[in-house]
Amino acid sequence: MTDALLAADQHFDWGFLPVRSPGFSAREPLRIRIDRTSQAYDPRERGKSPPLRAGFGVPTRGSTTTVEAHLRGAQHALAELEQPLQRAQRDREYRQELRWLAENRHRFSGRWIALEGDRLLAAGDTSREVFLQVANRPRPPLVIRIDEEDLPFAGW
Amino acid sequence: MRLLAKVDTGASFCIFQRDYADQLGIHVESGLHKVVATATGQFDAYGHTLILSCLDWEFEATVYFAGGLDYQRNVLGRSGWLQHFRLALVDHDAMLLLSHYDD
Repeated sequence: MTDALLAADQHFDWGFLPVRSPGFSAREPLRIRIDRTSQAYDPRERGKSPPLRAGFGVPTRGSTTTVEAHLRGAQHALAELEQPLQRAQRDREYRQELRWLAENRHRFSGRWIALEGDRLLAAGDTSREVFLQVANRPRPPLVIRIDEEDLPFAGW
Repeated sequence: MRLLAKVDTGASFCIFQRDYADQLGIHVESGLHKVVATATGQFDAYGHTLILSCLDWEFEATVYFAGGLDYQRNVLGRSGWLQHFRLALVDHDAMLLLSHYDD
């Protein structure tokens, strides 16, 4: 988790970790501090204390950031990191589909096909026939009809 | 479902093949009827509101489905698609730049 937090923090301008003090190095393990106030905790005051507070990195006096806020920030940052991966996968699949179409469309002239990346999942004379064959797939494949003649498109 | 469509800056609306509406369970003729003119004639189309997604963007839009099965194009026009984006085209470099209007 610590590695993930540091990795995520490096990829976001706004960061979700607090500003590091001059002595802090990214190579150091991340230190997590949880206390009740920015002052020393007095056990005699137990029961009267304000809510838990926490800070990441070098402890700073007067920090008001909560653990929950940090975790929310971390979750958001990790979700943001997922996005480029998903986008890269989607773009790769799309390029594979376009390449497949360029190389194979003449074989399916006038027919409907279902494609997922460079894999032909189904082909048929009607859209219904093809949609039925790919109905249970978790992600929708590309389903299109191949033009009988690949004529230039002049708008309409 | 996923399909391929052509961007047409001269098209007033987005129009899709009827097959996709049928697959989505949409009763095409119950939508807003429009007669659409083309360079070679005209045809009937019916508007329905649904969710379109493109790249990382997803939004609700009114799009039209052709009334007949002989219409074999999917076109992204101004209303329903282009109006959501900023689009720049550098055809010489085979480059299309796209961002959401609100970004």
